[in-house]
Amino acid sequence: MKKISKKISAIISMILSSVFFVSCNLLPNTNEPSNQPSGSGDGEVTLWSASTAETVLLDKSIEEYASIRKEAAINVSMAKNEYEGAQFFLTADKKVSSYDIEVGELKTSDGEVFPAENIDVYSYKYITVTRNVASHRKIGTGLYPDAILPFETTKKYEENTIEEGNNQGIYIRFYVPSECESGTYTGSVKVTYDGKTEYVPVTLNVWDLEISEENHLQTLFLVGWKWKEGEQNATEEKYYDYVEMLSEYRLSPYFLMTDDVRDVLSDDYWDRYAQVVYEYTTNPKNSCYALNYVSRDSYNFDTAEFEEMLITLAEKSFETNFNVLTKAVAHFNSLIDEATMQNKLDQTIAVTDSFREVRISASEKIRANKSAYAAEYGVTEEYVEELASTVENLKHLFVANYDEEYSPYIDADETGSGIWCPNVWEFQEPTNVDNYINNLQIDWWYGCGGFARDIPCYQLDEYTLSPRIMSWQQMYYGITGNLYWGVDFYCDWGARPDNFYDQNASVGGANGDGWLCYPGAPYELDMPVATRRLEAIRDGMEEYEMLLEMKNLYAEIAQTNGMVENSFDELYNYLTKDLFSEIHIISNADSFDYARNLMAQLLLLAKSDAQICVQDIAISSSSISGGIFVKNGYTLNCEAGELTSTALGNGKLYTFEFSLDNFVNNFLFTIPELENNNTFTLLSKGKAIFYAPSETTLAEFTDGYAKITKALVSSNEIDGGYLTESLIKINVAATNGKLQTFNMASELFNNVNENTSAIKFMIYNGSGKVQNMAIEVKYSKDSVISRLTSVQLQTGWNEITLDGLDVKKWSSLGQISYLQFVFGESVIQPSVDNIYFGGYYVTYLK
Amino acid sequence: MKKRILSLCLATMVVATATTAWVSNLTASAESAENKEVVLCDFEKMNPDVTNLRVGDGLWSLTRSTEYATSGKYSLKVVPGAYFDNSVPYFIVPLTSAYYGFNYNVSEYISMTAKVYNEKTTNVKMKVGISTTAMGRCLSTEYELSPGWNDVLYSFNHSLIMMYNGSLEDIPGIYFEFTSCGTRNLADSDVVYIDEIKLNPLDGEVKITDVVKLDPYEICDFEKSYQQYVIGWDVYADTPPETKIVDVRKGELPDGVLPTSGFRCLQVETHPRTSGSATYPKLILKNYVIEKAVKALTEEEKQRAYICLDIYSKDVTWNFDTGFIDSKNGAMNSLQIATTLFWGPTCPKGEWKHVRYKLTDIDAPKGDKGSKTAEFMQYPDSMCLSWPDYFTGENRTFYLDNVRIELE
Repeated sequence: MKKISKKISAIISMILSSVFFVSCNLLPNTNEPSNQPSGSGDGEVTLWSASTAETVLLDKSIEEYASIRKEAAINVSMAKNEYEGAQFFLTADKKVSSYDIEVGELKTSDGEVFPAENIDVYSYKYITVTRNVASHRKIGTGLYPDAILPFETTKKYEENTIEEGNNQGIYIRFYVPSECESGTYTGSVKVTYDGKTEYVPVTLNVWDLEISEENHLQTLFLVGWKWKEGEQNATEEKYYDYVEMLSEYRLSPYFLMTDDVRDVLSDDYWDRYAQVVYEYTTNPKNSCYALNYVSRDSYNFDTAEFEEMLITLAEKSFETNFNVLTKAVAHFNSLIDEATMQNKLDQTIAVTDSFREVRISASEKIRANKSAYAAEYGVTEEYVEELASTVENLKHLFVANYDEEYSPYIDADETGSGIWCPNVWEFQEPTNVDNYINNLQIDWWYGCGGFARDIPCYQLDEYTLSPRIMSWQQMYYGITGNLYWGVDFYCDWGARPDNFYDQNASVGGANGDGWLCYPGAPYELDMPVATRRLEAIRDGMEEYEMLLEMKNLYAEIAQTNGMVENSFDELYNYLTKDLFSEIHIISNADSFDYARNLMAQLLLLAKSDAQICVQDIAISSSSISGGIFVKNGYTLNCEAGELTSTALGNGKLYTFEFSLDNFVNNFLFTIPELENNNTFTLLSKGKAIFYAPSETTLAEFTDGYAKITKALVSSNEIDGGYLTESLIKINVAATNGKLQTFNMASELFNNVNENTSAIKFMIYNGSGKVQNMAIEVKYSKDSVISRLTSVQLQTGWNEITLDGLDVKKWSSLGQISYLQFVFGESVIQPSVDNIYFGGYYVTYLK
Repeated sequence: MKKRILSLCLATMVVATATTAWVSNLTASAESAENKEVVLCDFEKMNPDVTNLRVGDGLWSLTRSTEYATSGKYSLKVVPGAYFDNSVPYFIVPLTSAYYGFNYNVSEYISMTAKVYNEKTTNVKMKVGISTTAMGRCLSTEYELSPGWNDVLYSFNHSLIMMYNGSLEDIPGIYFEFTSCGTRNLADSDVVYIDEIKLNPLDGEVKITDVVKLDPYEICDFEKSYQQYVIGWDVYADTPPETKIVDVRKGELPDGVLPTSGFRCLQVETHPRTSGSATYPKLILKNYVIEKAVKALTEEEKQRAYICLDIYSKDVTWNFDTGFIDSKNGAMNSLQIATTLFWGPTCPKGEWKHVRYKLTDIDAPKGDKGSKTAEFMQYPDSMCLSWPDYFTGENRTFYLDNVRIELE
């Protein structure tokens, strides 16, 4: 499933080197518990709300949030066994000396109760960001909401105060248990401040869907950096608190026992480890763990210890009749992490050789004792063989970007032990994607750092949609494993902050990187304190479970009824077209809400008796078309016009094609025979206006780092002609030492804003070979050039669309100053001749 | 609340052999000042009294407790442990914090006192000492804590602090160190409660002139007495290396080996690890000597200056890495950040290896005020030599000498 000819990319802006530090302008809080009741003062508050996708800084004027500000209300739609949050804000018009938040039970119109115990209240803690790298300046500097502190703790430590002008965020998180009835529950949140009381209305819509308890995405998120310092506690029990917290967020640590694995001296060490592994792997939420290993010389791991561990785990599997190794993966992070970047070829060979030998050796020993194991543990010999086979085929994650020199030792292993795990950044280049997905068939990626615009990451100064949509992108690429380098790197440029909850948290300029939770110790909490980012990660992983259920269901319906096999993929492209473009996130809160709600509605319909299944949705410059399967006994109507149907399998396939007459087009479909949830809406943004090649557009193209020759020529120059009489022909001169770029600046760009959804270029590649090309943009208010898309220009005609223009934050970007076309991937490029521009389409929303 | 006066009979100045030769170079004077007692921590507030304490790798836990207290409601509950064999449990009480706005200059104080409660029925040993900017823990006094409350008095030896830290200002903190329990069984650990950690004022102020005397372009040639103190360590304490300044005239070097300058050089004897995974021990040349040497250069000289050193590996051909570190910011972390790391040198067995690094190739530490892009020459800091632990074979010894500046 690929959108090969698309779209937006981002520039890697390594502005690592010039961070300056601004001292904190907040007084340290006293951080003292109190049992005092709320005090009375003369505080005045403006209550308001915004999507959880929005980041509202504590110290920015409320006026700056006019475009996202909504009436104070909480509206959440969610599935069962799902967590979902909402946020609202108290902006102190005058200092508030004390405030309180209380939630009560919610009820449906017929009296069904949603208990208050399933609603958690948190206040945001704010961490200082003094500088953003160039690719992360969308939100700016200031005090960022990050940690979500249980509100009871906020009160206990008397932090329930608000300085004048500040926007204190409150996060309300719902959990819907499986047994909860679907329906709409309402109630309110009571907000009191300095003796005054207000109520925030709450509407909770529970879908008749349930998130799988089993986690189908695998993760490895490293705990092991600074948890001891942060918690001032180095006990194994404290480490398990971190493991447990990650588990609550559907995430796995690298290792299940902490680094006192160094102390593999006690005879019972691997027995204790096996028990920990058993308890961990039997929880369906936990989908993965990295095998502990011992390294005695920083060059290779101790194979004797490793073999003992594998056999002990196999024996635990016999004892419990549960294969604890199916979720295991090896990751020799202290030995060959990012080995290709560090030129560790010899060491890679040594480690992978050892890994192969120890797998084979351990599996042979298990096989040799097949009968004895079967007798001792009362299991079948087939089961013993299963364990031997599991051990023999264990994988190790090779966390590195692809390097063909290493390939023979990773992906060509005869037992297939290695899994390439490249950085998410790598997916910016279409050739990399092609190699990783189609050639190497990788299913893991990793995150570390991140200085590219709109690439999914966990940084503090990125919108929380970024970590959330990453899971949607994993579905798109087929990436089921996600490794992240740090959860507990409680450092700012390597130094321990005096106050973990306030001071800057930057790793080489990447704010909040490697730091996804906060130590609980400063608030005398047993568990670490989670963050908005962890919430967003889990939200995305829960949505992945819904998407996976939908994908499987579509495959089942397709197979039964003879539909196209990739119907889900086609729908998914439609569903996510305003969320991301390849690896680049383009969504805003509204487009995400639309996609999430449509996903849930279509899943409900696919699960219904009508087995609604949407396929073949295509949007052209002037129309939307598609097919919708409906099981016999049900019908499909659309208010936009007639649908035609043909028999297909056990039902009918309705097809439609509607013109896009309006700037925003909604097509409401109805299945009248269904009692509930019997509608869905397909939305297509506006009609496109075509701008044909002309002398005016010819003048818009200018030299970049490369010289160009350009001319308005007859369209008869190309095979088959074209719909316009003329084309703009461009020859790009060779470069040696500079990028092969040229620019385009159009007056039209002055009007590209939130009312413009896309620009589509028609480009004919007459060079005779496939060309790598990127389109980048310089915004008037931005100091750097950002990549919008990277494509491979096929020979002949190409449609290249710059999507998601309407969801960009134009207030911070300004206008498009110019577009930059970049050929090739290096600074030494031969000339590229016979590139023809056949005009472009602009899709407006107004 | 029973209180006992601590018997100081076991109090031992670990570095009591303060050399007299260089002490005579110091000038100390007392001036009147209105210094006041400072309560560093009484643990009535979590933040910063508890949260700002720095913990070492071997400590099980620090928590606030109401079990015992000499003032107010709370004290600090300390459970020493050992994360893996022989790591030393300790924590540091900071004396400086830009964030919280304090920086106690030990020249104004004569001692630190603390109340310590030993919950056990047997005596517990505890050391108190100074944490220096190079992560070093030094100048410790050992106390034997009787069951119940103990008054602990730690006197500042200003002259020695000056030697170890290069200054009486910006001392990162005072550390409390315990004996490793050597097991992961928490029940085997000692438990102590600490309250009222205070600095007690001097009647005046100690003033000590700069003790670092350098020859032209010298950083450290190990010929001068104070130079025994310019070495610090960042190691997991399995069996820490031992350092000694050796003199060829006394036959303290292997036959045929001569220091590359003068008669003396530094001998470093390392030991194989007996357990655990490999780490990278770091020998640190403290910031104050490098800072003085670099700042003595003219701007023109800085552009063509190299930091040079000579290493002699006695037993094996040995790979070292050389790093320039951010000691001020990393001082109370277990993580020392190398702002610039040079892989190598490889030192052949049995010969001096001359190594040099161009000053302009070295990044500056972040520093409190400096920017990351500032050059090392503007904010000179510490240098370290590191190597991977080894697990088999005999002890390995190397010699370090003539750390200096050469001009192109």
